[in-house]
Amino acid sequence: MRARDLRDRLRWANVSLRYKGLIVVGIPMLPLVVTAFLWYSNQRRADAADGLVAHTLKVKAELSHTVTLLVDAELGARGYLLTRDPEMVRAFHAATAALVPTLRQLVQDVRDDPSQIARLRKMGPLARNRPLSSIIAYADKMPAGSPPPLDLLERSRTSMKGLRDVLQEMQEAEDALLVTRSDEARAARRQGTRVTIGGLVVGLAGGVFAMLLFTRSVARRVGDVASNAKRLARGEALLPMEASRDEVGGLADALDRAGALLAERDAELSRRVEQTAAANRELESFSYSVSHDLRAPLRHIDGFASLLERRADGLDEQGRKHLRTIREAATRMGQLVDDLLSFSRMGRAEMACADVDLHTLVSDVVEEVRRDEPTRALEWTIDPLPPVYGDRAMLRVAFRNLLANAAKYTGPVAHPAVTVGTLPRVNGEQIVYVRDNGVGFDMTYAHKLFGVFQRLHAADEFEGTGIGLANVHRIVQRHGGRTWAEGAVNQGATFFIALPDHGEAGS
Amino acid sequence: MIADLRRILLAEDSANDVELTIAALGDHGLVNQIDVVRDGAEALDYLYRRDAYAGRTPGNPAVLLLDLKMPRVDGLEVLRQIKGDQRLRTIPVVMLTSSREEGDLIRSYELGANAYVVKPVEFGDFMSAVRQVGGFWAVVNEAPPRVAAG
Repeated sequence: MRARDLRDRLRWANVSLRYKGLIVVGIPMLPLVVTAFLWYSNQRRADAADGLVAHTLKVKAELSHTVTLLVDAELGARGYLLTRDPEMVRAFHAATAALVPTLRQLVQDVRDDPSQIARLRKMGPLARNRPLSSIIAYADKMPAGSPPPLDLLERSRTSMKGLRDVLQEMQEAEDALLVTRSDEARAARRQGTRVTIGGLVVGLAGGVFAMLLFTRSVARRVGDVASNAKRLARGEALLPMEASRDEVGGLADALDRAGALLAERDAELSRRVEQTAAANRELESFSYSVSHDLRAPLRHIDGFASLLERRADGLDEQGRKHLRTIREAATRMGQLVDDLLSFSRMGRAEMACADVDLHTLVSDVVEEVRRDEPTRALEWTIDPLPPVYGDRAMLRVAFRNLLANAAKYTGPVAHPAVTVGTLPRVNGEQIVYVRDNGVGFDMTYAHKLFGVFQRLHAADEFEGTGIGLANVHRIVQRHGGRTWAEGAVNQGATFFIALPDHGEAGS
Repeated sequence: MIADLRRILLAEDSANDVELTIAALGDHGLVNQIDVVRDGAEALDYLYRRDAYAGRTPGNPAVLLLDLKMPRVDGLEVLRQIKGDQRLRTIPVVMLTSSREEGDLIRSYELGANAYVVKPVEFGDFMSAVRQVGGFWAVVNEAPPRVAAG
């Protein structure tokens, strides 16, 4: 369990972005750092090898110098024997004197090499055996032209040869060393180059790998999350996202939760809508019952009152009047039921919105209203009306109510006139008004105008159930618009409806 | 050849409506031609001459005045069965109902109703509507030629 936890935590997707960044930067950096270190150590090795080569060359020079000094001493001694020239003796002494520090230096320089030291040791007896001082002494003692000291010369040649051989051996040993050390320096340098190139290649590959790692994991997942965020914004279902515990995973989780929350709210909303729809259906069936069940008894009241009227011989005038009242009441209630049903239908009916040619619509309705009272001298004025956006059938009902109202309430006026016009379009609203010069109304009660069954006039003064303006109000409201009215008693009335350019359909 | 029935079948569950309808048709001298059934099941029994109506004179009525809302089998179901039956589908069916609901209208016409009359609340209107319907279908209209009677 614990091991799995650890493995889980170490999964690349679960590593936090900060550490991912470190790793991504570290992958190319690490080989570069290692390369730099290796390059440096190689450089040191090459430098050391170079130092050794230089040292060998120095030893070789000292060896050559030693040979030269030995030869100079020999030449000095032999020259003096031949010429008795004191200059030769000075040359001998100078060479011999210089030989001592040279050899000391040589000993110093080869002290790390036991084989060379051993060779140097061999030179001691050989040098001591050199009879050069004896040759000079012989030349001093003997007159010029006396026979040469052959034995001394022979000894001198032999020891000189021995010395030369030893020095030659030493030179050869140093030569061998020189080859080895030069090779080593070259090898170190070559290796340094290889390490540098290798390190660069590995670092470069690491960089590419890190980039791929980043794009394939982090960038791709961030892309997934971003596209899911867009889907969320568009209200679409989210695509599955790779689970991980880094910041991207946290973002994906949060997005998932937001999506789930949204879906939940959506479902809740659907439930509410379903509830509303159920309530509406209930209302519908209620309306149906009202339509059927309430109208039937009304019909019976009227029917039987009417049948009674036929056999009214036994009734006096008062009785017949009561019967008439019963029948009128039944008829009026039937009208109320019908109006209430139509009002309820107007609130529930599906809206089919489109551009509506308002001018033609209003003209048609005016024709209709005019046909109801063909002989009446009512002056209609229809200003040019702009097209509006809405449900044609509903708007027709609204204008039918407004225009019929205008015709009705101008009844008592001497020169009745009705105008349909518009106000300039403001704030995305088109305002249309219907103005009449009829009996008007008291503004105190303006707020009651658009209520159901609200009337500002007595029923025997003007016919009607008081449903017309309520219908207008409901229709305009369903278009997302407003209604209001202005007027004064006996000074006419103006009814306004404001329709938004693209009505918010719905209730 | 079987004599033409020229009978009006009224399917109506409300006794008041039956009485008012008969009163209206009576004004037209059609009262002796009316047969009344009180629900959809009875209407079908009548049309198929079964149970209580097994012994009635064979032949289809000149017109069926059919109420929508009735107990047991409702008007729309009766209409559906009539219009789906080879022997009955030529019977003119007039829906005579209180319902002005659009859905009822549409369903009725879809099922093949020949007319749809909303009973007016006002008795004068009611009288005239019933009289016109009865007079037209039972008197003026020429009944379809008799197919092999059921």
